[in-house]
Amino acid sequence: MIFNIDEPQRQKQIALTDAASNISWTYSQLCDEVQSRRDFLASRPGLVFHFCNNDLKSVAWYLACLEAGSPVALLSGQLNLGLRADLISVYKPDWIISDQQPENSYASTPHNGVWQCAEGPDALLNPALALLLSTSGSTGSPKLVRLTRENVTANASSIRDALGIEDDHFPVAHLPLHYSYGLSVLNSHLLAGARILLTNLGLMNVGLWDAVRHYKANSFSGVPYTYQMLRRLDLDKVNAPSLLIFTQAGGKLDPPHISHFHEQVTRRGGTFWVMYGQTEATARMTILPASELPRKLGSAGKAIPGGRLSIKEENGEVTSAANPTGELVYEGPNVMMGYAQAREDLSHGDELHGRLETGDRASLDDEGFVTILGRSKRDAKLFGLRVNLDELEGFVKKNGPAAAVSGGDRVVIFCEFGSEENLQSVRSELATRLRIHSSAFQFRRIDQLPTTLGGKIDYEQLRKLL
Amino acid sequence: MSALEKLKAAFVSAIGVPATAEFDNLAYGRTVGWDSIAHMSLVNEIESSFDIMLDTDDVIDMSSFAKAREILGKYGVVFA
Repeated sequence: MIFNIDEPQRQKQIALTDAASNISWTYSQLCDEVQSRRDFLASRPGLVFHFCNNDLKSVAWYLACLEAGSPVALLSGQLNLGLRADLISVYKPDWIISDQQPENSYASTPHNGVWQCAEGPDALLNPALALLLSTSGSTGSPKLVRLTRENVTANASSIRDALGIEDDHFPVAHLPLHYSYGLSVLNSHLLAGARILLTNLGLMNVGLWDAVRHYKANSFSGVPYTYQMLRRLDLDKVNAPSLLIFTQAGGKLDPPHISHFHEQVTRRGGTFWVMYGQTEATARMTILPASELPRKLGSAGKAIPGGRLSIKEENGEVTSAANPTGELVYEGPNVMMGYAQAREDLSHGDELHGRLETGDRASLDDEGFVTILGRSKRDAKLFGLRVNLDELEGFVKKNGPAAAVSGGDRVVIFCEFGSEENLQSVRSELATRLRIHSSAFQFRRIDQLPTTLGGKIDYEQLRKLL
Repeated sequence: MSALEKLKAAFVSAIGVPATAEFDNLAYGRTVGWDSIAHMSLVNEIESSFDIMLDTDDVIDMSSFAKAREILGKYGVVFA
């Protein structure tokens, strides 16, 4: 079965523990739970929308979909009904797994929380398609990444090998499973035969630390913002001495924070791993071995096993210069087939052939270590979520002329319209719409947006105003 | 501004609840918008408006409006 969960030697060991219910499943129980759901789904092959949470049932359904060969889109169980309805109308899933009842065209099934489309399937699904993930998490964008089973298993295996994950590793899986990094924590540890502590609680919640302490989880993962919060809380004061393995991905953590955690974690005998990846590469592309800190501080590490890095220069050619700088290109078995924007796209085959132009500017040193310098695309990273600035701008522009530029960990939106009060309300509307805290958006009034000779918005000029 | 007003203002700004909200019903994880990011923002707001530095235990224990009042009491804030 997927991730070798049916491997005989591990059947008596615990696979999953749900912190909220205190229920644990052994690998043997997990196999049974997956098998019965797989048989049920196999009765009608088709696309599954899985509004998931970090709990036992969500994991069982996810694995059952992979086993049944039913392409599954993992989506946030916290997504509001409006955004859900939009996605459902664009993709017309054959099955919906959700705590909340979907619209009328879906009928209930003998499985609580599983709905089936009343009409027949209307578009072909590519046989290689196994998993669909959003690059923006909770914003409800219809843009999904198309992944194969090979993508998922190859990446899990590379991560396990690069991090040296063994069956006595025990991560607290608090990052959402619909988020590629959160999912990779589950996948790579299942593959290693390890135990995983599932929780929906965040690290500002006392319940998370109680669970870590009670079960003695030893591995923790976080995005830059997680580590900024953990810095404020102080790892030594949260009373979780069992935590020894720390991984960081989902954006660039400032080197002073990396140094801080490397030192603090080393003092307790643990390891701190900086990583880099994208949903387009299933999750992971590079890992900086903990032993390379502080020597390679600021680097995102080397390509994971099976992967290869190169740099594409401005003129579009792959460069052979020493220590080149340009767009990072990644090749490996974990590169997606391509994007989807609607149901019709799910019939498409592999469009990338294992080669991903990341859209990130980077430099590569002579030892193969990469340093990420920034995005070359119109994207911003807010609290670990990737947001496309053109989409964001489109939303604000309904109110009048506006332009958005990324200013580090926040987006600055210049508007030709609106009073202070007016812009405040656009700001909170935007935050609600994207489900991102409003502190990520700064609105500024401008008399006239600068334009280029071609009449387009001059973002370079705007950036100078930051 | 009274201490109570200052605390309410911190919640309005950090969590995005209206100024007319039923503050005593607000709870971390239950109130829409009160997630870990908003919580961090709330902690920052409270620390700057009351000019205090919260201990780790208090940061993660501050799971409701009432709890926030109680915790602030430990730091010498008096709610009339």
